[in-house]
Amino acid sequence: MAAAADTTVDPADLRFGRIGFAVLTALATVTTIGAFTTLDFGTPARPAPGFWIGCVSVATLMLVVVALVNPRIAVDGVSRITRADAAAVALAVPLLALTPSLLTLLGLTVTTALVCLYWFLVITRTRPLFSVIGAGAITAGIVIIFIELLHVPFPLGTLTGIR
Amino acid sequence: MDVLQNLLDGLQLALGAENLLFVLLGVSVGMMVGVLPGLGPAPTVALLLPITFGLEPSTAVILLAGVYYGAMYGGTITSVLLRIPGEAASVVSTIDGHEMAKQGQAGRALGLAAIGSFVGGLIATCCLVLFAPALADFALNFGSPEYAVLAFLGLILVAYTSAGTMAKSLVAVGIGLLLASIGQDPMTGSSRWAFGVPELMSGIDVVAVIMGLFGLSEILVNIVDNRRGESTIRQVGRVLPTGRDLRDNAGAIGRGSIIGTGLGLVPGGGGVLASLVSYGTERKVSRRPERFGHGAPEAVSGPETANNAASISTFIPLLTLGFPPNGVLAVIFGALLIQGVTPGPALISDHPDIFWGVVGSMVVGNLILLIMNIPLLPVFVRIARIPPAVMATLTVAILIVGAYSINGNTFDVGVMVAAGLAGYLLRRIGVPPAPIVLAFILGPIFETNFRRSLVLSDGGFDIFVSSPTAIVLLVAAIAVLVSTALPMVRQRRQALEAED
Repeated sequence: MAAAADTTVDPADLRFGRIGFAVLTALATVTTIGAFTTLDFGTPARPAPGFWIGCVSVATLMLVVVALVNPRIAVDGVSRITRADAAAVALAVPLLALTPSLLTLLGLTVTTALVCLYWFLVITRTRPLFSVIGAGAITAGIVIIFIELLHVPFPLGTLTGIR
Repeated sequence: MDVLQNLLDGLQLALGAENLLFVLLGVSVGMMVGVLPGLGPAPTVALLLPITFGLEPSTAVILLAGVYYGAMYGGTITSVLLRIPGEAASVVSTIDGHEMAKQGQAGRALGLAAIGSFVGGLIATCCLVLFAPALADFALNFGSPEYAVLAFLGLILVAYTSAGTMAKSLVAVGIGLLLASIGQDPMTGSSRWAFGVPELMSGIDVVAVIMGLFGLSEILVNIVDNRRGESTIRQVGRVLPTGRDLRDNAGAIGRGSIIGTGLGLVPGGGGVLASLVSYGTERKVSRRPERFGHGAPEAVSGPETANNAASISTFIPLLTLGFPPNGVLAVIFGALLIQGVTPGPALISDHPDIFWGVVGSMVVGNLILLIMNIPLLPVFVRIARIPPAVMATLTVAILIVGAYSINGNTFDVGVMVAAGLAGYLLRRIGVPPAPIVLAFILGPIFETNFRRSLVLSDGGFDIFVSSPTAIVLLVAAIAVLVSTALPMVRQRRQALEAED
């Protein structure tokens, strides 16, 4: 069974999984070192704020290393990122990263409309007319539900002066 | 006889015009809240708090309780149709529920969940009536060691029930525990890993993390597929389950009712833990466990029954001990205090109208939800026919607005986006997001009780086997770990023998 499973491991998947777990190992190492150097560990009888984090980070680091070195674990559930996926996600990341600032500057209504329009046109490559109609409809629905019905207190956009 | 008479009085109270109106309002708002990812039951109950100031205490609790268990029903809908849990307790249904939706059985999944939720709610209400004092006494005996071991068992079960290898699920648990430790230290109050960011001083909001890890990462994973103009879910199937469906799922619903009612009493666990344990149990007792993860109906009916039953039984510690087991119940606790009513052992005798009125409203409310659910399900399942491009854009917009609505700040939107990107990358290397979220929720309970136990025992780890309850829970956790490790050891031995 195990031998059969090993023969089905795709080398590209294994490489991808190992790169991912190498990054996680680096992060877990930094976290563990950070926990032991920046926080007070205390003793089991008097555990300080770093005690819990230290224990959990060490356990996590050990598990990540196990996943890194064991090919069957490293490859399990791996789904490689294709060029098309990477390109689409790369287009989405700047918009998503800017969204918190846009909400403050433009308010909910304009930000929602812009995000929807961008997502329709650039990410899902929808036709322009449908994108405009879709973005307008979604924005109207959001405004009606969240602002008009639920009265969620969204702030006024500092540039637009509207919610 | 007294119990029956009290129950009849409670039903009469709940069926009064004003209370009936507020039951209807509560469950309707709850359903809507459950369907909309982000705006969970806790913030909604908090938003509704000012409305209750002018109401009778029993009516106020009836309204707020309705929102809570109504959200449990509603949360399933987006879990099944969009793979976005409306609230944390519906996380488990994203697995098999969504698989059923992809196979054209969205209606069947939602129908079974609705009927299971109704039965679970009813059974939990009966338990509330019959066993509240005894069950509350049992939960009262839990000390820090028992809570710590229980949280440990919960996390092991989280890893055990997740997709993929146990090691990767445990990595996810570790990530969740570490994220939960950001902010204030629960014992000393000192700041941990806030890096001078004021918003991080009070920790990361779990709802923003949930929305990012589940909602946004799902959108990113399917970012290219979502360019299609047509939905892959062409058929939603029949909504009403057949007699055979009900027979096949009766065991899961029955077990889910018992698990949910029992675990609803456990502080912090509630619906989330109940649905997870139910999923694990159903997979364990199933004759064909390989179907789990690929659209097994009992993997939806059992956990959904359990989370609704748990949402009802969480009222037992509140109404009999004055101990709110989760955030929503804490807000309801506050609502009662504002009304001049102190929840505690004397509540049943001093304010029978509140206790029995709430019990009666739960029977009525669950019936209303079932009646509303079945005819409205075709409306909800139509969501599945919306083209992926529209659904993806709508989901992104709702996630942004929902994340902002949590605390009214853009920091939570940033947390949601960061969690979404991290969740996307983790899912690509096979680390499931569900254990991260559930460890995030259980983390503070585990840490507080673990450290408190060590202080109590002067650093001795034997405190975790100092009571029969703790021993039973610890043995259960070890049994789960051993049951996972044994097949791997056996396979390794067979491989070595084959090599020889």
